Amino acid sequence: MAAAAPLLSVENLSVEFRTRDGVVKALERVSFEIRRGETVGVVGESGSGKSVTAFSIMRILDPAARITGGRAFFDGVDLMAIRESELESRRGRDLSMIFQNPRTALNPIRQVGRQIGDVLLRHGGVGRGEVRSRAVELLAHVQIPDPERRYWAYPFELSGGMCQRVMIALALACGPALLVADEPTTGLDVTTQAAIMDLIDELAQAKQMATLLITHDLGLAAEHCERIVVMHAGHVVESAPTAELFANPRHPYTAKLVAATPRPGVALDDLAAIPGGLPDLRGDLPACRYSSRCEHYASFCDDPLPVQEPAEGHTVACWKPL
Amino acid sequence: MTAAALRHARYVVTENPITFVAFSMLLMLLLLALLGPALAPYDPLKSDTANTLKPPSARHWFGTDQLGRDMLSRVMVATRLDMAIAFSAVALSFAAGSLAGACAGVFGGWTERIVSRISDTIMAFPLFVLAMGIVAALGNSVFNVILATAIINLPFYARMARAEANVRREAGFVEAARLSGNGTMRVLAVHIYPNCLPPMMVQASLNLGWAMLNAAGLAFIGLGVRPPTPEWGILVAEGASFILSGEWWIALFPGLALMLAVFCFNLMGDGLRDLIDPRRRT
Amino acid sequence: MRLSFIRLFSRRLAAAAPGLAGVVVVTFCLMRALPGDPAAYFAGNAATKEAIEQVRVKLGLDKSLPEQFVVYLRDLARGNLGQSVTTGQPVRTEMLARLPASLELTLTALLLAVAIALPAGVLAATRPGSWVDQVIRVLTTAGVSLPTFFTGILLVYIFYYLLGWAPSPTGRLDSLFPTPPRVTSFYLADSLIARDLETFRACLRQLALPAVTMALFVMAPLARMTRASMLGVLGSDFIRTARASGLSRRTVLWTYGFRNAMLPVVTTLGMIFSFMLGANVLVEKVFAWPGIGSFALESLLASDYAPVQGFILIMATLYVLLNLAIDILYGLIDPRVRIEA
Repeated sequence: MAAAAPLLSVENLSVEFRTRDGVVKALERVSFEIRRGETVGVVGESGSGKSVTAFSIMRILDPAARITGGRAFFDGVDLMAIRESELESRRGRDLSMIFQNPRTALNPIRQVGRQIGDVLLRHGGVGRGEVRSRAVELLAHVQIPDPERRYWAYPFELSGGMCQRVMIALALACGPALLVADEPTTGLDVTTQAAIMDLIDELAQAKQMATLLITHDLGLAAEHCERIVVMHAGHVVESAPTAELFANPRHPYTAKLVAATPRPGVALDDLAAIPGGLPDLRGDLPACRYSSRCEHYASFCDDPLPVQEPAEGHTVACWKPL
Repeated sequence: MTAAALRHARYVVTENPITFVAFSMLLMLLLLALLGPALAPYDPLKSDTANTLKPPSARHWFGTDQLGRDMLSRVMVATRLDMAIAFSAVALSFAAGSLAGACAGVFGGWTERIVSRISDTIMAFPLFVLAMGIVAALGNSVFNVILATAIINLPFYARMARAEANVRREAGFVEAARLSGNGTMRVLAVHIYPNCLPPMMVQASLNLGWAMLNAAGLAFIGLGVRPPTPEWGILVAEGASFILSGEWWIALFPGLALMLAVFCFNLMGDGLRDLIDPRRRT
Repeated sequence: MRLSFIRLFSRRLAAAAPGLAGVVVVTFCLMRALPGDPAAYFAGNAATKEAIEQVRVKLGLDKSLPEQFVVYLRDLARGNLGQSVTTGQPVRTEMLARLPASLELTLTALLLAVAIALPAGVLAATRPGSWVDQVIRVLTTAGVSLPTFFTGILLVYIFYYLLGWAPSPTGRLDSLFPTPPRVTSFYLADSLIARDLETFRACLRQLALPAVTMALFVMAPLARMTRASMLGVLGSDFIRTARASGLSRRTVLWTYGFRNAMLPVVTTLGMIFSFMLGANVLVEKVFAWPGIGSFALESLLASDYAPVQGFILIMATLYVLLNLAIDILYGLIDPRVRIEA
């Protein structure tokens, strides 16, 4: 399993935002890998850079953002180096994305079936005559009842859960090898959340599709991901197989995250909040961005961070892992 | 609180040098309006038959018209009338419209229905055409021009005020104030009305330019202000017939003055909008 | 879907009815508010006392106001707009004869404005902050400050007096040329239909400056609105999804971006039409264009008030109908308006 080359290999990705108040160093040397068919979760607080990472890989960042370094090898091709037109042909076909707030993520004045049709026409190698039937098939595939009629529906006529299913159909239309899911269940009620996640799992299994699940919900990641990457303030602080991460968290931040996650058997009163807040990402930052919140801080923590590997497949960016 | 407001104002001014320039030019125009007749080199109404249709020169910076009147003086003196008409009209429609709108928003029911009906009827006309009709019907006078311009601008203020008042009424301002023993009128006057004002200030500033164009347009076609009163629209009308024979200065300078004033009002409006509601920056 | 369109149309039509009613009532009140004796005005300056009395009876001005209103409504229903004193013709005939000129001018100006403003707005929005954007922003801010009558005069000075490119501003067609045989009453179309290219070009030359003047006035708010709307839409979530799906730049910009951006622009068209119908009068005066605006103005100055009343009624009715068309157009583009979820 470890011998196969990874499907996506992000190496030292760094991203900056130019804002009115200065340059925000949103991501600094972010690295991680995903193998074919694997489900990897990226977790962290709001503002930790999880979504920025996803948008950077697909290069659909805000115009104010700049990718200042790093590479993202997808199937042997560095996505950061290729031309926009080439990337355009890969997006939707080889790797695709689903977003939070599915209702606003769909074109409000275009029927959902036609939106799926647009993607099919672009990449799907489907002729004009078969587009509609193929789109209806896809809608059925994501378990939307009465897909024939729903083809003509507008997003405002559908519930949040149904819109998310449409987005999934849209993303999977051309059978991509990688699906990036940015907080796909935020804003949905709990039952729908479970249904959507199950659907994603099922489809990923069926097509041997890799999934990059971005979420602030560690519990959700625990349930659905084989490996978890933990981010804090634009840094990857730890990455490990799920069970290993929960059993032996090595980074102080991860340990606190695990302790703060609601799980069966743990009373809510016992959950500990993480002290402090994210550092200001403008201006000069210390080498370890967690140092201001860390109880184990020592002077050598100001040296450039190492990446240690205390166990197989388990990396941590810390001078004094737990 | 005022220190923060001043800082914010200074920030906006430095961020937006254009707004600052517009504001300064506007101050200059206001000064001209107040002091115009005193500063003008010649009597704007005095004709000098020896010096008709003279192009701009050292003696007459803007040249002279067909009666030998100095154009610079006429343009300068006209500033007062145009600015006065614009400000009066906007002030009138602001006051009447916002009051009507606020009452409609707070009281609802028949008040709202009547105000809406009147607003809609005004808006059913192309506005300049309605202004023409009103001035034609009531007669040519400065007051009627002001009245007509005020009437056609009423609906904008009424609508904005009504929306703002509605938001506050639904937020429970009225109930809360009543529970603490205040009458509805007092609530309206003290709590709701003042809060409706800031967004309408932006509208007012933008309206000033439009009101000025309106008045000048009416004067141009011979309605409202009549010659020989110096008013930019009339001056352009008088100069129009001379354009074909090449005497460009009679129409050009008043037209430019008009353009400049309206341009400043519009820039100011944009700047005010940035100051008050930075979210809606274009 | 067809059913909902009919429902949309009838609903909007019903909503336009009070507007029309208001127009009719207000115009009546306006024309009765004339200073002095209306009969004297309608009779004309040179009328004798008996003539004035005759006119008073004929116009029904001796009746009470409510009765007058009923007569007014009845006349309107029959399409009777009264008689013009200066030309001696029924107002309706005069207006109908002149309406095509005004319409040709206004439509050409609108097409011209849309053809330039929309692409300019889209261009500025796709290159925010660039010099193209800055130039367009300054031009549009300057544009909304332009007095139409002044621009017209300036253009005449530059293009007629200085450059000699434009013909003298004396109306629709140089008297050297025959008016094209009437099919649509639009000279441009008619001359093309008659395959008279010389006349077509002559008409075009006369139409150019007035159309440009009016178009300039309207281009600025249109471009501004397009730019702002486009900017807003391009930053929205569904555009991001479209890009993430790898849709071509053209599809994203036009099918997903532009169509959505047009919604606020269509709403702005209402205001634009209000400006245009008003500016019509001014442009027709500057260029001696024989439309209903210049006729109304001449009548006004001659104290001939029946045409003025007719003019206001026609313009206002036209405006109400145009707004109706805009509402329907909006409903066609935005399904959220015509479908109850």
